[in-house]
Amino acid sequence: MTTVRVEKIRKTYGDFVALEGLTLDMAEGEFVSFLGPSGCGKTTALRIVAGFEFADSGSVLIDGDEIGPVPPNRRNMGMVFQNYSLFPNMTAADNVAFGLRVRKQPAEKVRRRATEMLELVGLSGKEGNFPHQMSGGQQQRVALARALVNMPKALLLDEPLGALDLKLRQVMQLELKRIQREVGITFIFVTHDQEEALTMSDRIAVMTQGRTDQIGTPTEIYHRPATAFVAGFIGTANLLPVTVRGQEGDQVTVDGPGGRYFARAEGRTYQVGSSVTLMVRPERLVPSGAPLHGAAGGSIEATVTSLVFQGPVVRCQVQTAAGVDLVAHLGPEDDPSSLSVGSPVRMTWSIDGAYLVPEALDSGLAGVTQMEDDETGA
Amino acid sequence: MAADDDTKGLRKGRFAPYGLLSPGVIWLLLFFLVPVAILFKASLSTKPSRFATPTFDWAWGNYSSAFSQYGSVFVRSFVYAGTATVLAILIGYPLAYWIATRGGRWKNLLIGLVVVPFFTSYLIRTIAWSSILADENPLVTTLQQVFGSDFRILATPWAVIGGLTYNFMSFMILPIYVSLEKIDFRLTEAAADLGSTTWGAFRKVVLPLSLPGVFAGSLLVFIPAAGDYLNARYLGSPKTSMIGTVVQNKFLVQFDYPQAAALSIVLMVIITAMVLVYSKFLGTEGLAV
Repeated sequence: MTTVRVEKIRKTYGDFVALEGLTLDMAEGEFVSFLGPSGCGKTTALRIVAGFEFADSGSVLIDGDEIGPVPPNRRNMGMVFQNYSLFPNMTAADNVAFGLRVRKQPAEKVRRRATEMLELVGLSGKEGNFPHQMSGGQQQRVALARALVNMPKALLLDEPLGALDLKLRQVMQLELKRIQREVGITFIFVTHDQEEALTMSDRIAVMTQGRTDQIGTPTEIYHRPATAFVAGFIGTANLLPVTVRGQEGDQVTVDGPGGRYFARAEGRTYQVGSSVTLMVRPERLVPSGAPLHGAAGGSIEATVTSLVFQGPVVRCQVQTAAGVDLVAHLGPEDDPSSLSVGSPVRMTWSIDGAYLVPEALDSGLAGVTQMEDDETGA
Repeated sequence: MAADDDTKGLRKGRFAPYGLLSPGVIWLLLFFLVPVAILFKASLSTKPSRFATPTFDWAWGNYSSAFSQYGSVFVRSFVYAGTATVLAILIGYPLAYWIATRGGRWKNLLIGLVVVPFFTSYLIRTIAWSSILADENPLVTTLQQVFGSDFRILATPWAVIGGLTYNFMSFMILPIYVSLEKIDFRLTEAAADLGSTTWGAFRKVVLPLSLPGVFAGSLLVFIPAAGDYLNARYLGSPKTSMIGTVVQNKFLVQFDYPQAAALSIVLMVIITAMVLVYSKFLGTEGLAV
């Protein structure tokens, strides 16, 4: 059942279009992420659902009722703010109890619920602590308990893990998932961290420049990106600009820099001569001679430019004759020890390891794309 | 060798804090503690005639007369100063709140305007008010048509209280502004999200967080207002005299140093006691952010 629905939301600040035509249904108990780089409109979307901002046009529906003009204090949404926004003059228990006291609940119930909520987030015994006496992770948990105490229609989380270090962030990701399962409330999670979104979400809305590029499950978004932006933003992708030469049933033939390649049509029909993008994930790119899973999809001549041991895989970067950089993640079965920097290599992939993004590629985006903070975890 | 030099440096460094403290300590000793001791000695002296030299003889009678003769003046001083403090909070808090939340890029200019009255001497400002509030001023004559010909402002308690409020208002606005300025007003969004009204968010979150400013402002207004003599002198009448007026008169007109000193000491002790009780009551410890 749909709990929250946003429909054709448009929001501008002066000349700047923050959101354009956002439409999304969020089901009861679903974990939905708004994912995108900063300035893509994801926080604006969340604030419109919370009622802190109002859309220029479009509507927000909760349980089927239009809620556009209702102020935040009468919406029953729970928000976890980026900086937590805990009340510094109140203890953890009083912070959590705030929402209950506002609703004039009896004192006995307030105390019991506050204790329960703090227990749910794993903070038993910290009731009397003030925010400044707690670590970032603990403050985060208090904020979560505070937002959940009124059993809101949806919990809105605005980059809540951004300020935590990598280890703690991973712990909190799993914690959030566990808490969400326990309370069964719709979670709307805003983040710029694709790994975070992949780990926790049932569905992800990938946004850029106010537009929604794709809405889908993590698997769909990773394996079948709708646009070159999505392909590059989620994980690492090798992108090649190609031209359609022909289609025979499920198989599409394309011409790209350095050869002729094959890919699956995935139910789409391609016009001969149209420009599209071929995506090969680094784990699907291997040196020729290594085992291929399925029929060959293509290959390309290149020179190894770097080999970096990363534990489970060796990150192998190569450069094609056309000057395009590609990255392959090589496992032990790919025999990476036979490669050396500066030596020529033919990189190959299977037809199922390639995916056609039905969109022409900006020439500047050819080659490997990945977000800067993808691996630093900063 | 290097290690030796290092420990020497450390040993020398141990005295650095005392060195840094000494100017302040010497200042306090010379210009506060010594004068207070002199004042205390004077308060226990006797001065038989106007031009005689006071002699120290444990004259506690100065203190008993401070209470018996001037008790009502003390009470009046504290009532006036207290009323002025409350009025300054009621007027200054909304102003400071407005500047802190709505001032935008004009904030610094607006706060500058709050301080502008200081460019004119305190005495001149008070005398200016005495002419504004005088019986023959158009302001008062107009009001007399409404309230009858007996209506006057100058020489009433309200003129004195108004003068005190006006003259010390900046000392209320500035600390409240500083404490409001530090508050993250996104907290009110959090409160609204939890179902609170704007007023509820103010009362339970913003107001408690700004109390340290109200506390500091109250002290900065109440203490000087309780000992003030200019407002009572220029805006009041003998019936509205405050303890500062009496001390000034005893000291500079009647040359009764012992009585003036005793009154000053009593004023100081009472104010200190009041501040201690007040800080206990409004304890700012738990509010430290």
